[in-house]
Amino acid sequence: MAQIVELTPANFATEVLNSKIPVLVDFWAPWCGPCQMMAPILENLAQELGDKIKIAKVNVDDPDNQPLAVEYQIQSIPNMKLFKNGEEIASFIGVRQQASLRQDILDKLS
Amino acid sequence: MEMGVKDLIIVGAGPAGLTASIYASRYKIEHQVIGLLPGGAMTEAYKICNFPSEVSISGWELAQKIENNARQLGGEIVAGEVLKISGHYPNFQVDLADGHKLASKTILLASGAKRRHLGLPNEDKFLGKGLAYCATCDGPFFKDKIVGVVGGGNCAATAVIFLSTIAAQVLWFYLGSEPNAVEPGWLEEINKQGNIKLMARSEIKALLGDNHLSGVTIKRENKTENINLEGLFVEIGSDPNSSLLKQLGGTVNEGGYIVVDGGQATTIPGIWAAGDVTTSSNGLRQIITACSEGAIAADSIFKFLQRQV
Repeated sequence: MAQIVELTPANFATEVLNSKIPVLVDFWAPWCGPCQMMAPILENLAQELGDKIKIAKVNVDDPDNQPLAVEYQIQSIPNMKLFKNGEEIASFIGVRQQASLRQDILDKLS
Repeated sequence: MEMGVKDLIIVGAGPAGLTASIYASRYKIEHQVIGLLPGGAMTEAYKICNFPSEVSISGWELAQKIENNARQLGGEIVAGEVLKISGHYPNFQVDLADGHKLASKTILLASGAKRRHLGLPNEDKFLGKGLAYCATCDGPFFKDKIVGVVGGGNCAATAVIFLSTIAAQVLWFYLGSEPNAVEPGWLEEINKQGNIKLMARSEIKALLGDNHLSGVTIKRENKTENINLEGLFVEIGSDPNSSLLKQLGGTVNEGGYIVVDGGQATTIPGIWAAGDVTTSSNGLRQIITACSEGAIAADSIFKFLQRQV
């Protein structure tokens, strides 16, 4: 069962930049309703895509995670960035439906 | 997810849908709520001061309270999006975006409304790069910056107040000489803040910037001027999510709002509607009127189902 990985500055390089598989990183915050809306969609996507992709989250409300929010210029959430071989290759902002997000991810990875 | 025939499927999990679920549970109507987000649009409200039980509460907190009540009474609330409704009473089929198909005798549409965009050509380019549609979500990223809010209603007013606690300055752009039908309570709060500048009779004509929003062009009293800012929040109202009823041939008014009778029934037998998507409550689209319409709809559905047995 694919788990969603909680990211911090301490594990970002290991889990995302040096990951052997692509990673979708969801920048979110507890105060953000649309982010809560994305949570079950991302959980379903993690199950659906299995080993093809890793899904991870950064809570930008956590002061410890501010460097990540600044580095990736987060100004709107939910903001889901797709990384492949350590490079950001796409960014999806706002609530997305599962089917269209899955398709867009697979298109970017193909 | 249950595949049996429900008595009722409630489309939408905002205050109308959740209140209908509370009443349906107490009436022992077998039902399910399908919605993108428990609480719906109210989750984005910075502060709610006109709900009778609360002096001041965030939209997210009030949404959680209502959701908890609905769940405690047995309401089954499922995250999902309804794409299509087909059939007729007592055999409606509800198709979800994840491929599931549900069956129900009756339907309550509490599908709310979706935010309007400015309609400017480069709007998509600046999304997440200075342009935002949810002040409570994205406001905290604009600490000590100059931001603008577009729109002259209550939602814009509360966004202005919220942002004034974070940003260095908030420019409030609206079309009229005064904000449109804003509660005097909000205006009083705005007048107390020293960092809010009212920009009356201002229309946003263009978004400026290369990779990030750096300003806007406005038309004000027949003059065009460029104004520097780093963030712009769009609060120009919403349009009803009434397409599910329109697909079935149900009646909506010129604004797209679902026409309902005093019992919240639509023109399609077996389908009711409640909340921001309807013509009800004299057009006063508030959390409390959505709750009221949800309660009335559930009562009507209960009586309707009783008559059928």
